[in-house]
Amino acid sequence: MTSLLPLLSTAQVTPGEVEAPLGPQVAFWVLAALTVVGAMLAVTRRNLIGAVMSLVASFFGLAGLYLLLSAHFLAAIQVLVYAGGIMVLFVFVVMVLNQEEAEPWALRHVFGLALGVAAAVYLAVRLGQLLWAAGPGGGELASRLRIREGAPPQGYGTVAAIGDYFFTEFLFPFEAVSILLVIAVVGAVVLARTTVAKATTVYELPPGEVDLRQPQHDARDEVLGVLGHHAQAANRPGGGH
Amino acid sequence: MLEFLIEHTWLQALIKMALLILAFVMPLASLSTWAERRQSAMMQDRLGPNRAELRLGSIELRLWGILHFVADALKMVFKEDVVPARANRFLFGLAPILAIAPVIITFAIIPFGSDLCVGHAFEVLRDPASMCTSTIPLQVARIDQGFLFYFALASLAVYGTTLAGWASYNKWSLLGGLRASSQMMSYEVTMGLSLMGAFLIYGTLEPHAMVLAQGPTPSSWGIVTQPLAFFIFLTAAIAETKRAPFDLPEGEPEIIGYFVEYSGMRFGIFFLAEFVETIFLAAVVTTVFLGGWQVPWLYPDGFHLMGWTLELPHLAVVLIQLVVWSLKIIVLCWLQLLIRWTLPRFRPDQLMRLGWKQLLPASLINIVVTAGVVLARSGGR
Amino acid sequence: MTVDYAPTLVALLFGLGFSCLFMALAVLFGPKRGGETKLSPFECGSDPIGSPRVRFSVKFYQVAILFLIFDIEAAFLYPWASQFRRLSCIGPMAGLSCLGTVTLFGFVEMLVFLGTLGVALAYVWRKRAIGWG
Repeated sequence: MTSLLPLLSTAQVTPGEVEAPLGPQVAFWVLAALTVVGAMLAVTRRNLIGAVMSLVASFFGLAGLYLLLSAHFLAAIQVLVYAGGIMVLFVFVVMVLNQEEAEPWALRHVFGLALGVAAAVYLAVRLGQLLWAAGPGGGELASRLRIREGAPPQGYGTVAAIGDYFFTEFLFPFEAVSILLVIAVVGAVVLARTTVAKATTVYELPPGEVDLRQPQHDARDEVLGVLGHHAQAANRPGGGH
Repeated sequence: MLEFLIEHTWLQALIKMALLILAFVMPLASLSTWAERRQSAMMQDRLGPNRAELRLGSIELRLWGILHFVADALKMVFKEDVVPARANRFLFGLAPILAIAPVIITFAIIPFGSDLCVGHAFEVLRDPASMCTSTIPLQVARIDQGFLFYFALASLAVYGTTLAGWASYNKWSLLGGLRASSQMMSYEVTMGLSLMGAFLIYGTLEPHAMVLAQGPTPSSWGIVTQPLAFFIFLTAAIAETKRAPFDLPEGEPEIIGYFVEYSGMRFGIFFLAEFVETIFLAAVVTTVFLGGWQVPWLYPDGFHLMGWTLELPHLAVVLIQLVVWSLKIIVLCWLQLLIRWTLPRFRPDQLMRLGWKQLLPASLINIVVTAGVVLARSGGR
Repeated sequence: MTVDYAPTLVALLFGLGFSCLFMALAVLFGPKRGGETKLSPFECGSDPIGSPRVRFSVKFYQVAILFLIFDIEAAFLYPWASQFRRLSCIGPMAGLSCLGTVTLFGFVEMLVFLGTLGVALAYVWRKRAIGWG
């Protein structure tokens, strides 16, 4: 396992040195633990918002791992877009649907169980392969991993380097992204419009809030409303002081 | 001692962070709670809080009521700690932390003075480049993607309001939370895009480099080179702090907002976070638009103005810069108080229109125009 | 370029610790008396009607998704903006000014990118998906 570490902390390793310094090593294990535990909590927590927050923590760990790999810009974007953007969208979906907390789907059927076991086995095999390749086994995967010793090239992973790529090698994907975003906008508008037509409760203006655009309602209603509130408060069981 | 500090950047960072937050931000935030009440009272022809006093024997220390904030803080700490029966205890506790932690952390990228030149404190720095071999930057974290770090963390502040609203198990809090987060989102995009022009002009995302690029001549400061962006950013950032005229999520007479179930110090954290945010916003505006710690015509070796020169030792220069930086921030905080007590609250549709239909297109146009101007002028030289 | 992230980590821990300290103040010093009425949802004295877990308008979701899209757009613009001067200059640079010839390439590329998203904004505008009006 030690041989994987130089890969993860290239910023700090001088050429020829195999063992990474203590700081990045500790940081790697803490961040890796955060990522994995966060992801597991996201799957197992019954409370949906709690699950989303665990995933946010997991993304934070991932951003930290990117930093260890000298991918500075990617780390910032990981937090900005994933933790701060996409996860907020998830929270909003949970809140707009706003259901009482319920039991998660249980893996009852044979099909579900088989699927779960297959996924777990596949994951274990892939991970094992990776670790084996990085370790003494070596082989074809190791050459693909390209374990580097020594510092990354000058300016690697910085905002400037990414900016360069946008204008040279990745010009077309960069422009294609804008088209993709337009498609997403159209999708959001179309989907939300159909849902508005079907929505059961449209919660634009809560009761008690006065819509200033509308002509003001009869002041007597408001007074009656206030009196009603008082009557209710007095009748409340165990209320008062 | 100093060499140890230069070598161990984490200790240096801890000391700078502690000084910045505990000696500047927190006192200023506490004082501005009092200033806000006094300012609003003056604007409404009232006296405002002026009675808190400290009695030591026969000495009565009143100080125009400044001690009110101490009384407020003590009261909040010893108030009952109420957690509603059906609230989600963990998320209910997490929300205030998520509201205040990001804004405190982002202070790390704000530069509050030019680099301290170790070993030359009492000399005139005539040639900083060759004289300064070891420096202590007056900035906690100098990272390449500076402002990106700020936007990334600021986007997490949305969770504070949303979670507070959801975890309270109260429909009014939830409505307030949703309103707050959709408002913050609507203006967050504009905040990022409005600063893009400054990034174009100064060619960097790093706050310290940006301050250096602005230089001690006020005509090259951001407010002159990017006047439209200044107004767009200020408006969007005030909307982001959720203070009047953008206090819809709070809407005091109506829904009271996402923190309606919070009391005591738990509420106090939201309250404090709001004031810390105003200070941070002032700090960002100072850094990008008002030259940061730069003092007009003050160069590393002293004042230079139209042939007139006043040489100053390095330490004096840095101290003047620190004081001027603080003054800029205090004035901007005060400006926010004035705005808060002058303008009436927006309606939700006005708020959304201002954000998406006016400020966002304006900031996009600003980017294109700025890019064009930068392009046209970079060839001429 | 090796960037030292220790200060950033210190700032993160400091901010978190500081916030948790405030929370600890609330939990440690605040008395806890409770009571059924006090711990029920606060609605100005009247009994809550129904559960707070009701559906909200889809408009909130729409705002979130628009935010996400323009957030990603901004994320692409940051590298462009900070590199713009260097990318529109063929030849050496002196500080921020270009000594060689100026190229329109970067400017046009960004016009295409911004233009496409401008179309998206115009579409949303026409469909009245923003503004809540």
